[in-house]
Amino acid sequence: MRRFALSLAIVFASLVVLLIYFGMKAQSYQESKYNEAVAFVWKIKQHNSEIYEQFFKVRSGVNNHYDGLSLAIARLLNDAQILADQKNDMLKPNGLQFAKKSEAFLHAVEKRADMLERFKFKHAVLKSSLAYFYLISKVLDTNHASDVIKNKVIEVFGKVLFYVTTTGNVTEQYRTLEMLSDARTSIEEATTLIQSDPSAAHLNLFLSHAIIALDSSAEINIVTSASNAIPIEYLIEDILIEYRKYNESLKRDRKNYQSIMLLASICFVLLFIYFIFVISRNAVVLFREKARSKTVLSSIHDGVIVTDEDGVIEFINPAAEKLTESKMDRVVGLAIENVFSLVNEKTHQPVENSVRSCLHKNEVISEGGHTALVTSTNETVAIKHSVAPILDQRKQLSGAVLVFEDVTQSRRMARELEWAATHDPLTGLVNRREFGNRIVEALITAQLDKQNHALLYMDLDKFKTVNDTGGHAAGDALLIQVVGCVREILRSSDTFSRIGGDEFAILLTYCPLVNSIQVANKILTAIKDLSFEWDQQIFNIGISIGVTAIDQYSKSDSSVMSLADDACYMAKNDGRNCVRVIELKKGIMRKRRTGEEVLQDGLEVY
Amino acid sequence: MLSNKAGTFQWMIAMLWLVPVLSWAGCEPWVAYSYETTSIREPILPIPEKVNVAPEKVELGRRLFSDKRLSSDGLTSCSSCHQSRLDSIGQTNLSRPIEGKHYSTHAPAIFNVGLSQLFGWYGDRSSLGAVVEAMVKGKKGLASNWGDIIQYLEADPQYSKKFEKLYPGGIQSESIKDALSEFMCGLLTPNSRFDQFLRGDLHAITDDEKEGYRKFKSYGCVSCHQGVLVGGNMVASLNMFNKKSAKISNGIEPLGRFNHTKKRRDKYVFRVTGLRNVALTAPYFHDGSVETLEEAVELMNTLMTGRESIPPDDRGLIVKFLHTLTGENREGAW
Repeated sequence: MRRFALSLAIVFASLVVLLIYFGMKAQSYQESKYNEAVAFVWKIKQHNSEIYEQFFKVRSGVNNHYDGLSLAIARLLNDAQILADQKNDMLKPNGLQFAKKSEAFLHAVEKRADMLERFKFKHAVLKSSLAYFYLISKVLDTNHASDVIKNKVIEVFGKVLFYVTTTGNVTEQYRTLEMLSDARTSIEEATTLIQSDPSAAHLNLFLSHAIIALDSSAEINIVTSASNAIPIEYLIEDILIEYRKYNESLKRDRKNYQSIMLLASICFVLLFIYFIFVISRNAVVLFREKARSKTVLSSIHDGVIVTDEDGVIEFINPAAEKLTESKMDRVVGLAIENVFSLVNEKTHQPVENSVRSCLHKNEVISEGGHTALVTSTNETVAIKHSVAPILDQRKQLSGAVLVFEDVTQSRRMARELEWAATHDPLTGLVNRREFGNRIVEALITAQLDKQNHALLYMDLDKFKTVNDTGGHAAGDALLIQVVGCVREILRSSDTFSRIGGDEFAILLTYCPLVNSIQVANKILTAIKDLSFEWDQQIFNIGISIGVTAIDQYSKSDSSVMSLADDACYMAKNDGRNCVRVIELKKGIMRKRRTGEEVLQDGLEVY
Repeated sequence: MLSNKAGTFQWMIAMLWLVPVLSWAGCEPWVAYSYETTSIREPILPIPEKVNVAPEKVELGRRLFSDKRLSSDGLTSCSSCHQSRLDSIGQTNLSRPIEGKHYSTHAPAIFNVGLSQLFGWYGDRSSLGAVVEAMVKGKKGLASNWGDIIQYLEADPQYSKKFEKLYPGGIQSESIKDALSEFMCGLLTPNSRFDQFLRGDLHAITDDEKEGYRKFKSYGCVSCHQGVLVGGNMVASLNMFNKKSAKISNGIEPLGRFNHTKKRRDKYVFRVTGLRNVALTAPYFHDGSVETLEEAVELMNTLMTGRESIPPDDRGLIVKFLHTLTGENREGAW
């Protein structure tokens, strides 16, 4: 899930970056700059035509000074310099093309300016030279030159004037050249004539002016056509085209950026929808699982309590609620001890909280023995519980889960089973096996602590008679009566057991032999006094008791038991309804039940 | 300058949008001045009374103009050589160059210099900004460079404050050129007696002076010395009659533009001087070799018209006419 989220985030982020980048690029296009540039180019066109206007005004004599022409030239030069200057903030199409074109335009304008300067100069010269022509009549009148010369001079001036005033027409250029050469020849002729006549020397000045006028006029024509030949209009158009192309390409770029942005936005939206879809699907699944686990937990019959790593309750299922007698909404957030406190079942002493130990040791703790839960109403419930630590994905302790169940029933049954295994069902007395265990215990204390106990074996006389006469029910009833009778004599610490059909044994703990003999006699008396009535018949019962001591000299449980048994047998042999004691002394012969006589150390019988 | 006032107006409006674009380019004549027309169609036009410049820039330019520390030796300012006021002391023949033995020219007076489009003795500078650039760097001028000048200006708090206020880019070569150009554009000398005559006051000049003007025209002087500056808007050659060499008075050949362009046809070519206030700007010609106006008129005659001499009466009349071209100092014409 994490990797999915990360990759998705990366894709989103890159889409956003793309959008922003192309958005900015698309924004950066400004139509206004293009419009400014185009307006400037139109201005240039205007200024260029201004130059023509001024030029023709000068040529035609409308303007008698050159200020207008100079200004127009200076303005166009200024424009061309601005266009070619890379440093100002006018629109500058990328690439070399525009730079080359603006450079070309600048050169062309400079060339034209150059030529127009030349034109101005020559035009002024022409004007000033022609100023002499109106004086010609005066000069000629006062001159003493010959008529030939005078006519020649007049002819020269005429031809020069003719040339000067009728040139400029392109279609008649061949005629113009003709006129020029014609005028030149006239001047040459006039020069020779004047040279030959010294009195006409001052006319040389006029001839010089004529030559100047002619040459100036010729140069003016040359310069004019050269200047007009410069294709400034085409160069201006070129620049305009460059601007247009650049603008178009910028527009196209912007369109491209916008379509990329559109694509990116669509991707973004689709991805977003997909993302939402995945998220919601996962959410649904998650929700379902959560609901399911909740029902599962609620269905568990055992109590389940989930805590966090500090033992604070996070969850408690209905079974646990019932057992602890608390409600989930009230206990969530409390420490576990508030709800789950353990005591020893028997002693009611508080026991260490297993949840705490589990959280502390980070291991499973289970306890099935003797613990009981104290509920909120201070009742104790016997439980069996186990606590397991909850580890998260990184194997860190993140809580504990406690599972417990009410074991009162089973514990009771166990106890009953145990009782049944160790007691005689009819009389409720301890059974033989259990009695054997008790004897062993007594032996241990006798040997270790030098205590004196006594062991009594008892045999009911005439039991068989009752059994035969009254049936088993009589026999049972008799047994019960006898047990009740004997019990009154015994202390609670004595163990009274039934080891056979009508055989009983009593273990008198912490009782010296003398006392036990007294007890035995008491029992004897009690049984003698007992008259058992059954079926309108009265029976007199007797009992034979054998007594022996369990003390530090006792060898083993079997030896002790056999001694007691022998004593009982002796009692039976000696006429029943009596007590016989076997005391361990050194070197006394003893007759065993089996009829065997054994030499034993220290055995006394009385 | 233009043949109708409407054209001027159109220009001004049309040019308004260019003003921010051209804010660095310095003072343009077609922006700064509103040219007049006169009722008399003469080849000479009166100097406009008003000029459109920013007073603070002019002030700054004036300070820079007379600031001696802009030069490399710290002793020369623009005003050391160039007359900017009509009442200044007369100038020397040749301005002393700062370093080297470069042959220097006679420093031209800079009145009304904003009205012309050609600058310098040879007419090869195209704008006031270019002139300033050449003067700042040239050995004949301040013999300095932009780096040093900018450094010096930045160190001075008054200059930096002024520059900050007036120019968004601060102290740069462009802004310095602009300030000086504005100052120079503001140097007008309008309202000479001849201008008053042109404007219609027929009694502003005497009959002799009117006669002098007529002679000026008939001798052909006015074909080159025309326009608002009485010259200054074209170039011409001193060697009109294509003699082998043309010498003025001091024996050195005036090669003119040829010194810069090395083109044969530029030999002896000079910018036609404007004759405004010519009575006050002795000595004359590019080398300052001609002391008086009479000499100058005579020399021009010899060189340009081919005549041996002008009759002294005519010369006198022409000189009288030339005296009427003296205008008034008009600081604050804006």
